[in-house]
Amino acid sequence: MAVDINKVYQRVLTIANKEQRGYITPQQFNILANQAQMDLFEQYFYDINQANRVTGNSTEFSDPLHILEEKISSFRINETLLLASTGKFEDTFDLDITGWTAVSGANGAVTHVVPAIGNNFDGGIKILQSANGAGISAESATFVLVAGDKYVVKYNLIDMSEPASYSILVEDASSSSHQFVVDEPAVGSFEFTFIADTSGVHNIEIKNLDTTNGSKYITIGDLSVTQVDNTTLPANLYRLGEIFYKSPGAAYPATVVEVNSNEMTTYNLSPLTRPTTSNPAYVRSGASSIKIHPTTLETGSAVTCNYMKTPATASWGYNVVLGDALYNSNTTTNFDLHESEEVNLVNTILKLVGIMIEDQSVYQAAANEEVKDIQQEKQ
Amino acid sequence: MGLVSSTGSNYYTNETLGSYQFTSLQNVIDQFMIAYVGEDKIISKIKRLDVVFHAKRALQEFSFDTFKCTKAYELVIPPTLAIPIPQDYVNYTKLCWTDASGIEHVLYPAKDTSNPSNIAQANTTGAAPYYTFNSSGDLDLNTESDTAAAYLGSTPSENNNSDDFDYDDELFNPNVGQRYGLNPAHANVNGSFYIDEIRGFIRFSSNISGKTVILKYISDSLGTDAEMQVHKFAEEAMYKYIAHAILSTRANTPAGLVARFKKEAFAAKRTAKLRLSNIKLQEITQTLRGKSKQIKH
Repeated sequence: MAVDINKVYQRVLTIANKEQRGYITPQQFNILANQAQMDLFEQYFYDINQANRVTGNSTEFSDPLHILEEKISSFRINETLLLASTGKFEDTFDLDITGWTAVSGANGAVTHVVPAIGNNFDGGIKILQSANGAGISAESATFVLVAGDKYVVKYNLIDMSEPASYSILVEDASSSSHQFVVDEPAVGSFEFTFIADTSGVHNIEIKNLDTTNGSKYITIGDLSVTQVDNTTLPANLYRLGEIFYKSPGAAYPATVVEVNSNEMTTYNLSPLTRPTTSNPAYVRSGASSIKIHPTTLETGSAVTCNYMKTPATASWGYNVVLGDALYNSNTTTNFDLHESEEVNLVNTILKLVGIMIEDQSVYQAAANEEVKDIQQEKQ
Repeated sequence: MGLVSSTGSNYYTNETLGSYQFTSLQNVIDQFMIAYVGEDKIISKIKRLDVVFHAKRALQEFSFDTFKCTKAYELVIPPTLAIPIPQDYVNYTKLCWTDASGIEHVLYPAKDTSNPSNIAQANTTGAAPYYTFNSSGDLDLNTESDTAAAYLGSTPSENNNSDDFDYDDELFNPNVGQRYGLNPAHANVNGSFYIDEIRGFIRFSSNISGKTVILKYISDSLGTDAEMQVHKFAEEAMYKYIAHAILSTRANTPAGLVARFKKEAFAAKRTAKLRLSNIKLQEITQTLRGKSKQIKH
């Protein structure tokens, strides 16, 4: 669904007539590309507001509001936990697997998988079961957790020769653990949450539970343990949507309403309006944090948020070969925008190029195209 | 689509029986936000906490005069002749004692007594210093007023029956003209009580001592989350009340809209009261069957 940045670059170069008017370097293009992407992206929100105020239509593909909603749908992130900005434990396994030790190593091997084209340059830890009819596991270095706090374990299973099952355990010093068992292993990203029972050092153990001696293995690409602090907003947040609070055992979450901090002071004064776990509220306490009221939440409850993520920074990747920039798809990041925005991206970048190279005709042509598009779209 | 989500066995073993007739205040708030708030609706935008406020106020108001009174305590009156007012008490609807047959005998309030603060007087001459003070500099108060002590210690006049019967004839003396001009408010032998609002006690006359008393009272239904519920007969009235309360407290709301919702809220509340008064045709018929009976004196 993304827009191929190489296509856009080539078109911009072609229209700008690179041979005569001047060449746009990749660095310049990357700067202008992101300026154009953010310009188009920000405009969506105002266009949605405008589309809401006019009568739409009931066609399947041509309702303006529906079109806009589809364009921003790839940026919507729903029901995300609010995690602390720094993790309690994190390993990407890209360089090595230092800190990990094999448990029951005689039953197989725990090895490092080096980043390569074959694994999309994502290194991992491979846990292979191949002997003695018993499982093998890898144990991490220790980290400190606090009793009563909620944590989320996230990991990527990047490769496997499907074992019967595997498990991930978070253990404290007395080997009391929270265990996540997967009986039908599959490649992908997974997560699970738990509430720490004890304070102090913990570690993670990844267990390959296969006992067939059939050389079954799992490879974990990255793994992290992060506190669910119900305060810190996601790092890639662009616009915050709704916050939800789900009581333990509740079928559906309740919406947490946003109020200003001065309003919160007033609401807290009245027993009839004071936020409760049934009707919670929050205030923005910073660009990337919120504070939920009541401040003491129920044990086992979950706070999640919907938000619009920031588009990834588009980058035309290249290698310099004999003084020329040669396209490299491996280091490229395409535009996050909807495919239908390809032409608009070209026009918007051309406008900026026209300003940059001080060519009125390029700017004017691109601006005219844009005006024509707007007239068609918003008539 | 059906609202009954649990199985029969789950309902009869795990759930609160009879709960289907109620909807929670949380549901009322959620459904109000869905049906009344938003684009092209009566209320375009409002903070949920404001709706919560008006919903709780609606629940309070409806508890006072629309919902059925369901709160009742039964207890034996101790020798102190006083019971503490319940935690969530707002007002009583009925106080009575029950006899051996379980029949309720209504107690009426004794309006002509009270339990004022009994200030410790320094002397009885009327000269300064008038009162004594404690170490904090506040007035010294005796634990109980003389008035309350006298009320609790006296035998009520209705129990003074020694002269009622003189054996001259078969008639009780009070029945031969002695009750002329009797105030009906005091004409019963059930006993009386008064509410000591300052100290938070209900005090009874001495003839109630040791009897089982039932206190039926109303709360504002906001005591606990579990009791924040609305009978489905009054659900529509709740929506209308909240809508009117919001519209009438907002600036720049058309007066006609406020007036419309005032009428609708009034009508919905009246409908709810009628429904909750639980009038059944057979029961009225049964009552009216006695209409031609001679009124006994």
